[in-house]
Amino acid sequence: MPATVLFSEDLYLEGLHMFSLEPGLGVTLQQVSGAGTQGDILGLVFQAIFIALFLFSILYGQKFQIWVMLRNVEIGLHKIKRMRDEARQTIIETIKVLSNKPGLEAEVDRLLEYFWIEPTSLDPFGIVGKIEHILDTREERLRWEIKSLVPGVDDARLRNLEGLLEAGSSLDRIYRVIRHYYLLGKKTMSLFVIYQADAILPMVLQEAKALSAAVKAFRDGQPIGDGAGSLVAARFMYGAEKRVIAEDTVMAEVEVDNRRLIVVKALGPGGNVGKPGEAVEKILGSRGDVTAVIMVDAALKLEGEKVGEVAEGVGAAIGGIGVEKFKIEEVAKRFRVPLYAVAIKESLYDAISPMRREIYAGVEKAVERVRRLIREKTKIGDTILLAGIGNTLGIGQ
Amino acid sequence: MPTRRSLAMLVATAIITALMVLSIGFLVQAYSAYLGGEREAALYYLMVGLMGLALSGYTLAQTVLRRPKTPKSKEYKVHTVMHCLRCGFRDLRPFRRGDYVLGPGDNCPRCLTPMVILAIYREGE
Repeated sequence: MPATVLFSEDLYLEGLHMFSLEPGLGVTLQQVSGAGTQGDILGLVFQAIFIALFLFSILYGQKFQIWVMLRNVEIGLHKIKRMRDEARQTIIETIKVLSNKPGLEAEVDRLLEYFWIEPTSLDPFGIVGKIEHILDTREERLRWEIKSLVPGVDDARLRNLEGLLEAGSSLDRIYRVIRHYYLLGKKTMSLFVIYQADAILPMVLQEAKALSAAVKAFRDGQPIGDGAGSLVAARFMYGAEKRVIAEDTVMAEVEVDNRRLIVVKALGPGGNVGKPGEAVEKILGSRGDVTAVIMVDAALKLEGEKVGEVAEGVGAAIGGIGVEKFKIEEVAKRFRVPLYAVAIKESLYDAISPMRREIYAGVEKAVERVRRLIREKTKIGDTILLAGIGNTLGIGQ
Repeated sequence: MPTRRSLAMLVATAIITALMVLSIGFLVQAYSAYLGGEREAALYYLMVGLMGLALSGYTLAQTVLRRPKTPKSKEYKVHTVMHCLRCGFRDLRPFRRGDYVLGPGDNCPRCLTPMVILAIYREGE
């Protein structure tokens, strides 16, 4: 750049004009380079920086982006690992209080990696029964393992330990999956692999935090938000005679506003969801006088909705894989009994962490809604089935 | 692959540090230009210096210096609400292991009959 040679710092500071040196040449160079003052030199610097940044963004922009995202995933993975380790430690400590079996840590690690394989859906006919069978086998096996770790453990504590292990196992699985995508992304440097991991990370972290809170609730036997439906049923059946109607599921008959109300819930206070589908099937199948089925359950709220809000609708209000839902829908259709649903809204975090006060307030509202529904939709002398759905951890009957 | 990671980290740190030093240099230039009465040039230098400093500082904070925070596991304050079925008295105390809803609670301070646990809930989000 000749202009920079011509317009030295000294000349500029002395206030000399370029025309005084070599007018013809000066004008030409100024026109060519546009560098007439120190501000123009800065203009060149700006341009150089801009070009450098432009080239950098073209050549290395994507790599830099990948690197930033990978770092984000790495940080998230580290957080999940901490939560998983903490949950593992809680499980070991909880079992250690009840058992002094040697090699406990290795046993817990083995149980945390326990998995189930979903049956094939190539031919979907009868898949619900297959899923139920596999889940029953898994549950039976897990309970057997816990009993062998803690011999003589009572039923309620067994269910709580089962829930504790389930939460720990879910955290472990989340950690393994995210680690897989992180390492795969790092190995291949594929933008799309890393982008997917980075995009789902906030939701995964939310779920991991919820599971982390669930571990503590199961350790202490505190009711969780998911138990809202179960609590509504418990409020109706308190004081009445109960009997077991299906595995881990109890029922009681009470009178409400001159109607017969059959109430069903999972057997508490251990962390149970029971088999409400089987219970409803048995009750509707054995008595022909049920005129309505009311189901109460916790439902996932949408962002912006208030925790503990109560909503009404129709259909089988029950979550999970779908086995129990399928059974209830089938039997309701077979006997042409209307299904009414009452939902107590909460977030995923609220559903598996200790029950919030707002959810308890929602339970109170739901009890009133059920009473109103009974008055409005049935006649005096009718028989109604009320099913309180959800994990009954810390909730008796 | 710790070696590859640390090498990438080293290169990134070197580039960012160089940009930072350059930016500080521009700021010094801005100061000199200002003292020399060249306000316009000082303003340019200042702009470049601040932009470079902000860019390098932000990148450094977001990538190299960013360390995972230890997640704090929440310990909630869980309360047990007890209700006396005889006199209607209600009491609230911190949750104790073994408490469960509709299970037996403490004795009623008024009529000394065992209360029933009506609810167990936590405060706050």
